[in-house]
Amino acid sequence: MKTKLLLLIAAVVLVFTQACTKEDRLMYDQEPSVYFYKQIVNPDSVNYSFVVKPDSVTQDTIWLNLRITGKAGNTDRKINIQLDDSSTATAGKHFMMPQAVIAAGTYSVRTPVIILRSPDEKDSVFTAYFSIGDSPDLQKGYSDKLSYKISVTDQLVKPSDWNGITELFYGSYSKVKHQFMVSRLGTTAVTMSTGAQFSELMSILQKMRVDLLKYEAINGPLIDENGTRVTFPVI
Amino acid sequence: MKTNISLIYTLLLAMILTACVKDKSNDGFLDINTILISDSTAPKSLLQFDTLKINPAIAQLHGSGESDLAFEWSLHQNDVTDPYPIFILDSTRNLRKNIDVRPGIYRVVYKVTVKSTGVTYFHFFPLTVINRFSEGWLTLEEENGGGDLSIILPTDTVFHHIFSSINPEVNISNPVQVDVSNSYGVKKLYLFTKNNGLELDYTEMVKVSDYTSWFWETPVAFQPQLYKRISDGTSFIINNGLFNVRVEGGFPGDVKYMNALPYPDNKGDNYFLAPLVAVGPQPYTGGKSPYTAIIFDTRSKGFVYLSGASLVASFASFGAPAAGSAFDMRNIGMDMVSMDEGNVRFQHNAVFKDAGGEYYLYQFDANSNNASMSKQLITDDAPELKGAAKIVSSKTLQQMYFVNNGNIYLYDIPSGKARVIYTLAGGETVTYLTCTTKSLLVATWNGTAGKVYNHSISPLGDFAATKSFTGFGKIVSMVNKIP
Repeated sequence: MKTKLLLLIAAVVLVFTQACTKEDRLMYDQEPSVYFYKQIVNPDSVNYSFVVKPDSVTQDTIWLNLRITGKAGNTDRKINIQLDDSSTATAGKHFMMPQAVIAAGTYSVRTPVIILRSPDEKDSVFTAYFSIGDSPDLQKGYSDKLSYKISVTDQLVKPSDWNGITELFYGSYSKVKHQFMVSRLGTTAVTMSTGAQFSELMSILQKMRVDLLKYEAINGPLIDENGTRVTFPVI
Repeated sequence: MKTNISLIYTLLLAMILTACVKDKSNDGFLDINTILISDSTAPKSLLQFDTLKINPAIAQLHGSGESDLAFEWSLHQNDVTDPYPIFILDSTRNLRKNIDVRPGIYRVVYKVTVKSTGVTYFHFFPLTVINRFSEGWLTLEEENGGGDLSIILPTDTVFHHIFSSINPEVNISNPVQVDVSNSYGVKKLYLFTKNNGLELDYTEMVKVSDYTSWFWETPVAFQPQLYKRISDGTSFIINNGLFNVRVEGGFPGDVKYMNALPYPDNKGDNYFLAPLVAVGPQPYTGGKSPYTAIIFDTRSKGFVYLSGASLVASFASFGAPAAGSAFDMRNIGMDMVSMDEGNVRFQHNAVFKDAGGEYYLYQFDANSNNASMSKQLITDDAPELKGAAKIVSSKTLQQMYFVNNGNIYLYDIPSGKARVIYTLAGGETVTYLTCTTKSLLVATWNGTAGKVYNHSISPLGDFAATKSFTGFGKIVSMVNKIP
């Protein structure tokens, strides 16, 4: 009994002595890195079409969201965003991207990619594949968040139902006419198969007749890809 | 053990002894005063805004005094589900209450409580509240910086402030027009203000929608000048001088107003229409001409028509006048003062003013391919017309009524002469004028209050009798609402 009591006292003493040991703090000691910040509203790709924009729009901006791991820096830090060889888009022709920088004292940046309206986009889609590489300031971050794709085009596809009643409303199809309509309406929904309703077709026709006159007053007749003057019927 | 058994016996004995004590717990109950409610005075239906009177009979088991009774009348709407409206009407013995709820099917609940006992008795009365405003002349008025509607019932009873009482949260300041429409049997009621348009439920006059949901592409500036339905399938709004048409019937999907129609001859939207329209025959009703509607452009100072021959509503230019035509519909060259259908259907009287202030009457027939009928200077023999702004046409005779210098004149078209047939009260100006087959309705304003005069028209065009109605604001528009 005496032995058991001694053992119990010894155990209690041991617990008390261990309880006050100083704990080492866990500190982040990885190299700072950067990655594309992706959420549902910040996806990893954008398909952009100038088709729904007026002719006066020659460029637009897509914003890339980037974040760092580690601590904020005391100085601005450059991010190495590379254009992959598989890209079909050409810098300076289809897009421009200024040097991306994480500013001192910050953890994230919204950096612009300026996409350009180029004549060759009227019949092609151009894609830029961006990826983050190491830089002297920042390493590559999470491996699944290092790439971003931007596709840009200015072309339209003939709606499958541009015949019958649609042709009665809008006249014969041409890509230039289609382009003109979409640019004025701000939507590709110009026929029933593309999302417009029957009553809306009548409204679109009125708007096109007025807008084409305004266009011609400034630019002269609008000639389509077949060399034919674009017109809308009076029915 | 022996002790325990003794204890159990003792407890059993105590229970047996106490079980037979007489229960006196109901000695304080009161005798119930049973009440029987009966009635033969309650109506089964009532016009909205009428007074509901119910005088029920109450029979009591004990005595006949009613000082110990408390009453409550409530109205429960039965034809809606969510929310289920309950309106407390009164706490009187008999009911005498103005019923201002929306038309519908209700149940009146009469609750009688005996105060001394707290016992409550109910009696139920079915009640249908009928639309008070199904028929009558609706007047749209400026009032107290806002707007409102009144109605003159066929019984000559007038109800004011009906829009604001039904839609207290909706402002209709700067009112422009009230109109009704009937499209394939569906009736609608519209209000237009300087920068807004409202559709009201035809029966209940509750706001249903506003103009922002009416267009495929909402106009940048909404300044409605005229709304008109010209057929079951076609209605239009002249908005800021431009013509937005709505065509419905026989095709799927939503139907909305189109973008503004382009003017013929490659003018696009370079036009500004007068807020008046001459309606012609409609294409599917056996009409003779293609002129479903004829409108005047204030810029080119000529008429254009809405083609009834097209699948999609379109403006079209009149052709060159045939030999011997009275005038060229495309080129009037003067400012429009008024336009109204005359005494023959589709034949219209349009009055124009030249640069010198002289008035000309142009008559045309929207039911004839060769529309122009006659043209004459009318201020030479009837100088009283000079300066007149409100001119309407008789629907029975070749006559027009106009207002000038505080008088109402009758202008006889064949003779070209005008004469005073009525003198307005001092200080009154006419704010609205419309002519039916039976009467001339004149809305006036004296600076503080509005009146409506309903002048019935004699077979010769004079006023046979006059009724007047008071209590209006400044009336800007009227329409006859039919059931």
